[in-house]
Amino acid sequence: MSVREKTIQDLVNTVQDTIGDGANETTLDRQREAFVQMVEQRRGIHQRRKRMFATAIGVAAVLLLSVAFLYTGSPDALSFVVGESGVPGGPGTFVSSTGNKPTEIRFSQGTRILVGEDSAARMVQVDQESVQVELSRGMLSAAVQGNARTRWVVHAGPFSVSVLGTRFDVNWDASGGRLQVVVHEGLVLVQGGELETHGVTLMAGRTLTADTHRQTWQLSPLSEMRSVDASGGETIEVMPAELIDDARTTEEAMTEDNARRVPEADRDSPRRDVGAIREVERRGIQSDPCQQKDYAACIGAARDQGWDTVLSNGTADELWRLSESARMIGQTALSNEILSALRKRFAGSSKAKLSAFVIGRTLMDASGDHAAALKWFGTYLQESPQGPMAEESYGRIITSSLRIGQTGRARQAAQVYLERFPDGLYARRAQQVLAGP
Amino acid sequence: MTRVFDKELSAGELMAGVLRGDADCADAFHRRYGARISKMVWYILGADRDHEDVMQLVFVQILDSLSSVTEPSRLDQWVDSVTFRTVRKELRGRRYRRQVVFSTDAASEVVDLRNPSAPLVARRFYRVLDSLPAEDRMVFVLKYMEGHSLMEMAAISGWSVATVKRRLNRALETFRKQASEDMILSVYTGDTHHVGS
Repeated sequence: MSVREKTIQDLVNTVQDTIGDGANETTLDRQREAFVQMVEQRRGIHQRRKRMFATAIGVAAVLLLSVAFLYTGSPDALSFVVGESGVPGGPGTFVSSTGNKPTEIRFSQGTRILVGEDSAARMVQVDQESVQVELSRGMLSAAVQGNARTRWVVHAGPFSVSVLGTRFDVNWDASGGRLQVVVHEGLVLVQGGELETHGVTLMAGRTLTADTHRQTWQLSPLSEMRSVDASGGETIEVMPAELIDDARTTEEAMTEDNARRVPEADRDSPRRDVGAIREVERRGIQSDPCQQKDYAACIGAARDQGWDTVLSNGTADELWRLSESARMIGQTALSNEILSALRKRFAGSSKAKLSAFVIGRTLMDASGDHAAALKWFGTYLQESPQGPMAEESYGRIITSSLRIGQTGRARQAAQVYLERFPDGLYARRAQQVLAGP
Repeated sequence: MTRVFDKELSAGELMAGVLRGDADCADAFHRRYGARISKMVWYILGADRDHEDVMQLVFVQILDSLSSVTEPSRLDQWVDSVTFRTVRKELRGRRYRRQVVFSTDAASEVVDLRNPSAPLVARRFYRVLDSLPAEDRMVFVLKYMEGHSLMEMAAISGWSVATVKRRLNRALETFRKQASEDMILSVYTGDTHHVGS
């Protein structure tokens, strides 16, 4: 081992001495019991499966025969008509909506596509293998009835959105070079533009916003867009205010370098329906240690100024950054105090609502105070039931409840979680909780 | 409830028992691998709040794919591989979650030490590890905390020895660079490149 490696090893040894080497015996015992129960449960499942197997084979055979008959016996499986009058269309058909009335494209196998107001789309290819739609401009909302055979693709500028069966909206701002995809059900794959080589997979409840001019893209839980509901009629999806802030901060973090190179004027959005991309205020970025993320200097400056003055006079943004700085240098209690002040002074604002979640998370992560954390997550969900951190809040409620032995509460949260976020990051955990003893 | 076997079961017997739903075998399986998995997860994540959850996930993965093990004699290594893949997924998921869900907290600490007032060095150590790609972080831990050889790491990770070596070197280099800029860690690494007070 070289001298350099030995110094690393010495450091590692020190860390190991500090953190120990894993769960204690009590935890291992608890986990062992859970594992044994899991194994026993699976034995029950296997036995039931064996009994069901013979029946399933018979049913599957009948279904396969039925599906085969449907495919071979349906000569016009992918024909479509356009508009209320039902004008038949085909490859090359151009669909344009003017005014405030969307135009509907209805496929014989059930898929429906609504071309939104002031929007235009062209049917590039329509056959059993692939349906390809080119969205020239504006908004398109699709409810695809998948058959695991036909590939559905929406092209928008340099991007393509591929699906097998799902419900999603695509918004293409051709002049601004901005794409927004909102997935309501299922999964879609978005490719092209500046996205990753392999594209970005979007699950239900997620929004992707890509900007070809700024060469950036971002993902967020949901986003603001004027939506045309493919199941009938026009609806407006209203994005909670805190989502806007979340989208902005996400963008700020992911595009900081690019944004600095782009003149302000180039970042103006001509369309209101891509308003989720908000302009990032960068005033004083060179001089404000909080904005420069010099956390210690940020806290030092506030201390010099006097906490009473800062907490009484600071804007919501300033207090937010201050709390972030305090958190980053480990002063979690101070961070929560600042957020509490923010909540009092700017009650009802998006940041005040989001503060409830952050306080809860800090209590949970830094202090291990799960009981207090639970109250704050509850407060957040009460104030922002559809907020950007709702999924995370439910997930954390599950974890914290289990930590303090509130299994009933954990199960309740798990149930709600699976109903609202069946494909979410905590879904598996929620399923385990519900399947547990 | 404690279950004790008269003799230690072979890997094949353990596997077969778990697969047929035998509670005693499940108990023995966990006794054999629980601490081993716990330690690897613990070292990689850093006494993390999700340690228990991740361990649970590892055992779920083990149950899901135990039937695919064709060589019981390599069960130890297979368990390490499952642990490795599960923790890697967790780490990558965290990076995703931070970027997507709440980017303002992207630099918050992953480590949640049992004792919040534990020495700063461990926190700083894991903060530096947080900055490494998941794969680099994991080979770093396997090497310096678990003491595995390159061959063993290759077997656990499923990568070639050359890949492991390249990632390890990169991890080491990044770690040293970052540590040298940290006032606390640089004392250990012997580098003093940091500036300021």
